[in-house]
This record gives sequence, C-alpha cells and structure tokens, in this order.
Amino acid sequence: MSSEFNTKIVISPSPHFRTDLNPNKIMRRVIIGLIPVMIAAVYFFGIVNFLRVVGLSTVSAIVFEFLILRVFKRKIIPGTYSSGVVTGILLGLTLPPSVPWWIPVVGSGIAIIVAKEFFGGLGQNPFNPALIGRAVLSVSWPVHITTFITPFESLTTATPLALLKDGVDKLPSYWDLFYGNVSGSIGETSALLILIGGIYLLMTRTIEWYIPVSYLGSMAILSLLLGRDPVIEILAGGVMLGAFFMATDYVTSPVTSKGRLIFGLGCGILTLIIRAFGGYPEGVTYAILIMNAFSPIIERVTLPRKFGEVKK
Amino acid sequence: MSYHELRPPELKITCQKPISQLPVPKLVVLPLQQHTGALAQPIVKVGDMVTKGQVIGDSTQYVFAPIHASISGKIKAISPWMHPTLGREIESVIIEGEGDFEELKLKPLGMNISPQEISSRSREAGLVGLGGAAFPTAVKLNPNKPVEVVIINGAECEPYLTVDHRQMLEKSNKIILGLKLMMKAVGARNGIIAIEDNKKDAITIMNESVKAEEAIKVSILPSKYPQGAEKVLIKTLLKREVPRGGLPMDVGVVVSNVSTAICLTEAILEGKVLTERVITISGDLIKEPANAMVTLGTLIKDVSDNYIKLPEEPYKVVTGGPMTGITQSSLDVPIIKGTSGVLFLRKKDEFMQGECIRCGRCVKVCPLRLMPLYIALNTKIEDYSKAEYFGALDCFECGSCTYACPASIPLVHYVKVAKSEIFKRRKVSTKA
Repeated sequence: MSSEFNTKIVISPSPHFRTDLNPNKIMRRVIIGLIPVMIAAVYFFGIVNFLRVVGLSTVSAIVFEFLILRVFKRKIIPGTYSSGVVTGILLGLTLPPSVPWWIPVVGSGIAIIVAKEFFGGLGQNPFNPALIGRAVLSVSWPVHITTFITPFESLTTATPLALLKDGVDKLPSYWDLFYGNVSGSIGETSALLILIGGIYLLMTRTIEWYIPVSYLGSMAILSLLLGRDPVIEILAGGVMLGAFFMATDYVTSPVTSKGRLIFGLGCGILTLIIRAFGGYPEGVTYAILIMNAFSPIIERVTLPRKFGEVKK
Repeated sequence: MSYHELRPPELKITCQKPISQLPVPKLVVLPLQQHTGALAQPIVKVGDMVTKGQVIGDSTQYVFAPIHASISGKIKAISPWMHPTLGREIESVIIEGEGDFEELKLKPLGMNISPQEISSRSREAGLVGLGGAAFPTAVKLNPNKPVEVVIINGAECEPYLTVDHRQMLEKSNKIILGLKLMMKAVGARNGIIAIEDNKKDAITIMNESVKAEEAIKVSILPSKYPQGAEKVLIKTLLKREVPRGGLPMDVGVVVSNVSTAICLTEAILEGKVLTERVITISGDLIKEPANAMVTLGTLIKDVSDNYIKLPEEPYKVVTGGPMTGITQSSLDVPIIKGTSGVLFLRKKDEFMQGECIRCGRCVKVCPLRLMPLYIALNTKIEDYSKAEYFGALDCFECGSCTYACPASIPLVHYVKVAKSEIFKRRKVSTKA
C-alpha cells in the first residue's frame, strides 16, 4: 500500500537516542588534561627538550599507528589515532629531558606496535602501551633513562628519589617538589600542574576518583607505616602522573568501582614496595604494569551484586 | 543511588497539550495478540457485522484479555498483519467501518463491589497494562501473594511521552478511583501515586486530589532514567528489591500505569471496554505534536496523515518512547493496547560503531548492576552461558547502557540476541 515509503523508513534497534560522547572526544579531553603538564615540561626543561622528547614520541606514535594499520590491513575504529596520540604524549612525558632523539622514537614504536596493535589494537591491549614502551627502554638503555638534568640550567644531577634511595639528606623542599622545580622525567616533576589536569579529567567525568584517590591514599598510609615521608613519596617521581593519567587508563584497569579502588590500592602498595625494598629508586611503571596483569581477576572478584540477587 | 544518573534530554514538548480526539478511522486492524499471554481466538467470521465494544477475540486461558471491536462495521478479513512489537505478522481482525452503531457497554457497577468482581470486570473489559508491557490487568489484580501497596506509576521517564502526565492533569479523580479499586482488589492498605519531579503541575493536582484520602499519598521521584521501570520504581519508593526473575508482588507490591487505572475506573463505573487509548504523537519531525485519544487498531498512516507531512529523506517511525520503543518498517502497522506513543524521528548521522574501550560507563548506568559490555562481548563470540552469567536474562532493556556507550555499541541489541539464543537452547535441551 504505502510501499513507496518503505525505502525511506529506517529500522534500528533501541534506544533511538545516545550520548554525544565518543572515543575521540574522550581522548581529546585526556590531551586537554595533559596540556598543563606539557606547559610545565616546556617551562622547566625548555622547548627544545620538549620537542625532542614529547614532540618526537607523539609524532612517531602517529606514524607507527598509520604504518601498522596498513601492514595489518586493520580497520580504523573511532579513537585509534587519538588514543595513539595520548600514548605518544604520555610516553614522552615519562622520559628524562636529556634523552637522545631516537629513544622516544623507539619507545613509541614498542608502545604502539608491540604493546597496542600486536594485541589487537584499541581496547584489546592488556598492558598500558606507554608504560610498556618506557619499561622496555629502561631495561634496554638504562643509562639514558636514568640520566637526569636540573630544570632551567640543564646540569646533570640525580632525582630526588635517587637521592632518597642513596640516603642523601639534601632533599629539595616540599614547595619545589610540588611546583616542579626539581630534576626528573620531563612531565613528572610538577605535581601542581598534573593535579590541575587531573582535576579537569575528574570534573569532566572522563575519569573517576577511585583510582587516583586509592593510589595516592595507599601511598600516604603505607609510607607512614614504613616510616617514610608521605609528602615526598607522592610528590617526587611519577606517582602523580601515574595516578591520574596512567593507572586510570580504561582499557587496562577494572571497570567496576570496587575493582578500581583495589587496583589503585595495589598500585600504591607496589610502588612503595619497589621504592623501599627494590633495586630501583622509582617503582610507578612496574607497579602499574603488574596491576594491569591483575586487572581481569580483580574485576572478576568485584562483580557487583545483581539487582534482586540474594547472596547464598 | 548506587548508580550514575542518566538524564537523557526530556523533550516533553507535548506536556502543555490537552488530549485531543483523533478522528475515528475507516479501517482498523486488531491483532489477536496484544498483550503478554495467550493468543486470542477469533469468534467472528469474515462478513460479520460487529458493534464497537463487541468481543471479537477470546480465549479460556488465564493470562489473557479479550479483544473487542474498536469500531462498528463489517469484518473485512481475518489474516496475518504486521505487528508493531512482535516484528512479524500476526493473525489480525480487520474491520471496515460501516453505519453509525452505538457502542456496546457492560453494565455499570458501583464502587462497592467485591475484589473478584473487580478482577473479572478487568478481564471482561479487555484491560491490560497500558504502559507498554501489556500484562493482563485481571491477572495482576488477582495476586497469589499478600500485597500491601499499590503504586500508580506516573514517573513517565521516557523522553517525549506525556500520556500519563496529561492524564494526571485531566483525569486525576479517575486515577484515584482506579487506585482505590486496585487496592480493594488486591487487599492493599496503602496506595502511592509516584511522579517524577519534572511534572510539578501533576504533583500539585494529584496532591489536591488525595487530600481526602488517608491511605493514599503522592510520592515525588527524582527525574532520571529509567525511574519508571517497575523494579527501579519500587526500589526508589520502598527500598525493596524485586528478586531476580520475580514479580513486584513478591515484595508485596502491585504497580499499575496511570492510563490503566483510568480505564479500570471507566470499566467499572461506566461499563466501558478497552477500545481506545491516549498516545503521544511527537518527534523532531512533527510540527504540531499532540496527545490524542486514538481508536485501537488505527494504522500509523492514519495518525500521520493527521499530523505530519512525511519528509523526503530517511526517517524513523518509533512506537513507544525513544529509549525502548521499536522502529516500524511500514506505516501500515496498527496502534495496539500497549502503544504509548508514535514518534517520527529524523535520522541522525549515527556515529561509527567502535570497539569497546572498557570505560565502564555501561556498568555505571545499569540500574540492575549488570555487566553490559561482557554480555555484548560474549554474545559476539557466541558464548551464551557467559552472557547469561553477566546478566543477559536479568536485563529489562531500558537502553541506558547503549545510550551511555561512547563507542556506539548496540548493547541492548546484543542482550536481545543473547536472550533469544539462550531460550532457543533451553527449548532444544528440554526436548532432548
């Protein structure tokens, strides 16, 4: 009868509304959240170091993503490139400002090709790609990855955590640690600006509070128990960047709220154990990677009670 | 609440529009399956003359409500016709209007009738829940467990729809009477009229109407989706959780839709049988959206002819609300007892479906605390027992997860696939 209409009527499953959020928008928010951190990197270590480290890691992440998608003949899904950009920036921010140019390039290659696309691409990787990149770099070229410079003057020096490990008591002031006027990885020194970016992510509901709060909270409590200074433990090194930008990675952390709390707790405990008893002065990278491995099992044991389900 | 709040745009553009009367169509199509329960057997033949209000489809089954002729005229055919919710053709009675017969009515009864009479009259009048699920009212009003509270569900959380809202404004007294009849039928001591806080005028009017009633109160609900879902409603009001696979009466509650309460009052006091209902006609394609009383069996094209010039470009025709409603493949589909609205929606540029990035938003918004992402994942790889483990059979398909999913994954669609596969397998295994 009215069959002339039928070609125009669209059939689709409900609901017929949806959020205007999409993976690219989420990644864009993460990048916006990282802008203060990048400003700190430029301010303390100069634009040349920033471009060589973070600029190169980001550009090479995009290039590797482009190449590997062609080699694997893989379909581009929403968020592929934008998440690659986030991985590139994050990897760069965890590297010392003085590394040679090829270090960020190799790191991005490992992050994108091995840690992300070998496992099936966006959403499939069990481990945080940026941290895998950093971990491989730090075991392959330990000298490059542990040579740090001071802000502004670029003199070779030890990081606050290395000083702490060696039992030196000439540690920087709390204010310098908070503000970022210390040596360290290019994007990890300023707790203040990382916090601003993190608060932006919390306010836009891009991330939830569970992981950062349980990560930083467990760090604080455990360091007190071990007789260490909780302020230094949290402000020095990669904890702030890790807690807000790395451990909160959707793909590699649990989806349940309780699971996220436990995940952050585990990250905090492991970071401190590595710092206090391990061979390295810093433990964030390995702590988060180890917790990534635990993520599926944490999720399994924290499945919420279904509505109307009676516990036997 | 233990889950994130989901607030889709309300779009209640018709909330100020009084209920109008849609012209009675020349032809109606009455599917012999309009409710949850048994299929009706036609008790008329092609060529028979029928009167509005006359029973044309009946059954001896318990979970059943008879189907009445909604116009007077001649039975033109009894043949399969596309059904609006079942997605396939169902045996239907087609009546062509003829003459101007009077409406057949049942004998009016008073308020002083027995619980059994209320239930049996509900059946005689063909009443079913008019919120969408269309469960026979007679069965609901004959619970086999003690019921303390009857809740009239005036949440109406679906965007666009304003059927219940308008009826609360225009027919508040009939709602109170209907509620009292239901309370009597099930032996409940208390009645609650639950309304979302975005319907301030309805709250005022209903509050006014219950002033003299001691056992009835109006409760205000936060406006969020899916507040009107039975289980969510009971949880919000009484902090009780309907057990998995159970019914509201398992926690001493019966929930009824606003329109159903009105129809019950009319069935008992006026002897009216269910031959028409109020629907919202709306959507972003409609210039003059409306709330209208329509004759059951009216084809959507007869509705659209009155309200809309259909566009050149592709569009969607949805029966029900935009969160749970069903897209129709043609305009020749009839309005049935459970149809609460007809929406004409522009086809939006849909986002490309992505891969799950495990953001957890579907988990946060699920009112039943299920794991939509894993239901979908396991359905994709055809591991249906896992899909069931993550809650496929619990899901009442409110659409919250799909709404919230940034990767545009049709999670509810996967749930539906999982359900049908699980049931298919169960059937096979019981046969073997």
